[in-house]
Amino acid sequence: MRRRGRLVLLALLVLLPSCAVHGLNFKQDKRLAIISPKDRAKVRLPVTIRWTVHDFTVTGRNGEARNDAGYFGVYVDREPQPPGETQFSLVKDLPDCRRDRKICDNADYLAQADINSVTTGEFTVAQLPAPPTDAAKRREFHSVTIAFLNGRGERVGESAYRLQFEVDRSGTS
Amino acid sequence: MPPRKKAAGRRSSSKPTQPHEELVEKVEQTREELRNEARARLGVTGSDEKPPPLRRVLSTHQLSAYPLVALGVLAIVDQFTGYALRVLAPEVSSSLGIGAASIAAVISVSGFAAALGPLPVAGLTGQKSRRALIIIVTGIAWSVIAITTGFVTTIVGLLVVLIFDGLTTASVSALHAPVLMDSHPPEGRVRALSYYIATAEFGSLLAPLLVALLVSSYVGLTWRGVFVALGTLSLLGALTTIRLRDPGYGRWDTEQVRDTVREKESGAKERMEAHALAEADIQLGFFEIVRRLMLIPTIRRLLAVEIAFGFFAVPFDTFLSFFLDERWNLGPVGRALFVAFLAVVSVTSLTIFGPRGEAMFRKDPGRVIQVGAVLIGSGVVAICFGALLPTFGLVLAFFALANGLIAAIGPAISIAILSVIPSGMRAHAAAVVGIAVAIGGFGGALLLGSVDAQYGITGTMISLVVPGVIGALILRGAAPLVQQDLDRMIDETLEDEEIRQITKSGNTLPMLACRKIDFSYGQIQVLFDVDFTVEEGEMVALLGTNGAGKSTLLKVISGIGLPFGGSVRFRGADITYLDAERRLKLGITQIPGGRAVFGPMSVVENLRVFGYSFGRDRKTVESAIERSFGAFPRLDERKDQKASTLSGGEQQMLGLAKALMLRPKLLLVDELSLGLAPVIVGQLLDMVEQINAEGTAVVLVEQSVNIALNVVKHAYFMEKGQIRFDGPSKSLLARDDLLRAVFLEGAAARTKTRNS
Repeated sequence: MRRRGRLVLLALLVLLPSCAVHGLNFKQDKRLAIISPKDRAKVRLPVTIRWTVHDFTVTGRNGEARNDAGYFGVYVDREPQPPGETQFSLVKDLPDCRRDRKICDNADYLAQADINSVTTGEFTVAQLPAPPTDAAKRREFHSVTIAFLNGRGERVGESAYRLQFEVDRSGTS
Repeated sequence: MPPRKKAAGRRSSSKPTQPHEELVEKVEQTREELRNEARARLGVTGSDEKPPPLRRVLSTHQLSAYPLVALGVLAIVDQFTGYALRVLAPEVSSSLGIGAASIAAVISVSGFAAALGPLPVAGLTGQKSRRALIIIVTGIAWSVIAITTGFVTTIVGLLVVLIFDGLTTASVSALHAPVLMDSHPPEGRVRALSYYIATAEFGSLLAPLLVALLVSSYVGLTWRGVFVALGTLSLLGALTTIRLRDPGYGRWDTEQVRDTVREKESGAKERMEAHALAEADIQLGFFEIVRRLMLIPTIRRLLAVEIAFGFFAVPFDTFLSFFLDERWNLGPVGRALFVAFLAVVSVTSLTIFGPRGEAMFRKDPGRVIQVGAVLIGSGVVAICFGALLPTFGLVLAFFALANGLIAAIGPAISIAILSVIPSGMRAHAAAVVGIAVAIGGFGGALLLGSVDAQYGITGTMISLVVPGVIGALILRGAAPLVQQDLDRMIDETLEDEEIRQITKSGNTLPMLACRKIDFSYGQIQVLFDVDFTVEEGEMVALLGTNGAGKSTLLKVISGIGLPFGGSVRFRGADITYLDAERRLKLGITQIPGGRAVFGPMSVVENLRVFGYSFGRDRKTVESAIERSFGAFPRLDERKDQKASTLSGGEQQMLGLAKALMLRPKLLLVDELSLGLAPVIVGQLLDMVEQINAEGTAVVLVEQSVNIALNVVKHAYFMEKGQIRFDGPSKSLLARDDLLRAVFLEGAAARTKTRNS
């Protein structure tokens, strides 16, 4: 009985630092709305994703840490970084990046890893890798996730806006 | 109790107030009558009579529907967290910035916790009447956990809450069905189980609808909000169950069966006073119960069915989504509606099947299983056809048909599993069933994943027919076993109650009573219906040819081997499935044949090992060793010598020293004389007689008739796994037909001459 109690206590000790009360989103944040394409639409590449925003001022990377101003992080087939982190945190453990941060902490390198940032309300997915032969029988779905970044490049809150689309490769070689 | 066939001339040192034989005969005469009555009390009336409505059954027994409702509410709300997480995993992943693979891994770990969780939950019950308390506490706990999930910010936190969720929701699979069984009289159980499962199915319909509503633009909650809202709803549901009370174990079955004896024997339904042995010493522990369950043929068979069921049913849910998506282009909403329709069909099917299943069970429990096999087989064939049909309406119809057929077998399997085991073990059985389904599900996911890669999603749906049909065939094979195991359970309960009544009426019992022991090594049965008894302080010989089953019988008595049929009672207490280590503490010690000493260890080290059962009491161990050296000075002289360097006789002395150290109440000696010179054997036998004279009962297993029969007055003779003779040793010497077959005739002749 005592051992069980200790296990529960240990679990609670692990759990407590993993919880928070402030800065959590319980209601959906509707400041951003994706207008095209429609969710789960069938598209041909290249495809441009467009969205509108309100109550968020697009300032670009200006060094300010405001929750209502900054720019957009766009992630293709991958999740954004945790809240409060910069996009670099997604690649920091790669060998190149560990050796020299400067190699990775730039837009071009991050874009190669499908981590993008834009200051307009649109983003074009030009290319996507063709699926492996086995998976080719399946319908080819991809996802794009958009998150708010502040002027320091840190993710603002937990809001993330996700769009799924199906790629139609018929007629392409 | 075992009848003393052909027995005569037992010692009268422990003469009972009424001879055992008379009581045994009486019990044997009335056994079938009692069994029939007990069957009727368990609801197996054998008649076609339609059972009364469940409401009337409850009112007749002045019972409330509250347990069914309360458990149903919990069965609904326990699904909330699991479903919400499965559906909202992408949102959780995006918001926390955790990769989809990590989320999938966390969900898998929580699934693992949910599969294994029923085991500790069953262990927590400890066969005490606290199941309702555990059900209420875990219900509140998982609700709080669901709310906490809404506040988690890291993957570690998510992992911890999901493991807790898996462990607490495990009380549903481990305890709900057993508590339902104990809350309802036999004539209403199948319906109670059917309605309960239907309610749980309704939960699988409600959970997606609630999640869809909460994330819709009308309510607009994030995944965090959904968890908090569902957790709060779950908490409210859990709080409505706080009036649930444990109905007590076996109120409507085991206790009813006992009543048939109580009424026959004394006309009074008194409870039994304390056993001769302390209850704690003979109550089966967790693993002993699980091991005992695995020896019941129906359980083994149905667990195989559950594995097969898990093999196709668990991956079916996943592959169905892919099938609807790829083959019929259904989005999340369309798929949710499809699944919701299937759930409605399941609820309807269970409601219809309940009363029919009840009537079938009353007439013949095996019939429920046979029908279940047909349903499962037809269901998977319907899935197979459904996957190939060209129009969506037909696909929907066939899948609904399949779901309706397969849903109906749940109560059939549950009632079969739970009916053939004593009520105190049902939580354990439910836990083992959960693990079997999880094993099947894991195997199915792996294999069907490969099928999918090779043949696509339609091929995968068709391939589900293979495990489904295999499961149906195994299930069909279980049908004849159910009645047998139900009778076995009745017999065990009747016997237990008879023993209580005998003890209560002031009669004494044999020290050891083995009744109708059946034992097998794998598929090879080596003991057949063996009855064997030893009185307090008695020394008996167990004789027979090599391979007759003598040593196996000793293993069954000492607990090294477990029989698949029959019972072993020590001073009236059932120890059939008790661990060997615990039997040692009760006073049963075996000296194995073939000089069982630890060769590389010294003599004194061997003795210390024997003293293991004294625990950490070194002083007692050392004084017991001194006592052994006093009895065997030769061992004292060689105390630092390795046991392997001792002569054969000395090694047997070392084995006997164990008996001297432990001072057992019953000593089992296997092949003492094997390979030893007659002089040495004589010395060892003197020592055995001395141990016996000090009050220890002894079972002497020997191949050598003239050795054994010189020191015992009562003997058993075994041949081909059966007791062929049970009586005074002198009478055995007259049985040339037995002795000639296996031993040198001269042995008997020489002994006769010497005795005269």
